[in-house]
Amino acid sequence: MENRLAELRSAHGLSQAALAEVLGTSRQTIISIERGRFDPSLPLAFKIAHYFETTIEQIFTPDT
Amino acid sequence: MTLTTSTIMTALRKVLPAIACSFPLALAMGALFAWRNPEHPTSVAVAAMAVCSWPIIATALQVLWFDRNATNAALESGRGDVETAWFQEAAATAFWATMGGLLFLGGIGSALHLDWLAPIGLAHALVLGVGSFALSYLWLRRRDR
Repeated sequence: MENRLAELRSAHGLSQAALAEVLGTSRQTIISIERGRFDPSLPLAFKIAHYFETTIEQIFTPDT
Repeated sequence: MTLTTSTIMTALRKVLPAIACSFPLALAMGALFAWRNPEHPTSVAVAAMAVCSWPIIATALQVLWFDRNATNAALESGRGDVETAWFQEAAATAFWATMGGLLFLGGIGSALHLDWLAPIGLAHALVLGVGSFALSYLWLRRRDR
């Protein structure tokens, strides 16, 4: 799955560690999601979308 | 995350009840083993079996009893961190490595009439299981970094 997490995080001026803390997850999880190596669980995807005030579809898109 | 002394102490405190409760059970296992194997010196048989079975019983107690609420809470909250995914994948790998390894070594041992290899002892299974879990977890961690 592709995602815009790195782009959104940069736009909000957040470090990976800061975003991880806000979302209640680990920094490694953020790194893995940004690199496309790990697909987040639905609750975490909702948390991310909620934090950036957008929808899951705006952040995550299936591989084409 | 840096593994500090306080982190280790916190983790240890969490498993202390299981370690304590499993000790008499491990001793009982040792006594049972000594009773069924009178050819070995009693004290050595009790001690050896108790030492080997203590970590296994402690882990089982922790997972099945003491940690049950925490496990259920983690499942219900749908923990979505990558470390959980690594842990699950490594556990699955260790399970298959242990099963496959036992069959393979047991087969080789039987075929070649190597008594020390077949039947496979508890220590072999433990080393294979723990070793494959650790290697698998470390490999996944390295891959995803």
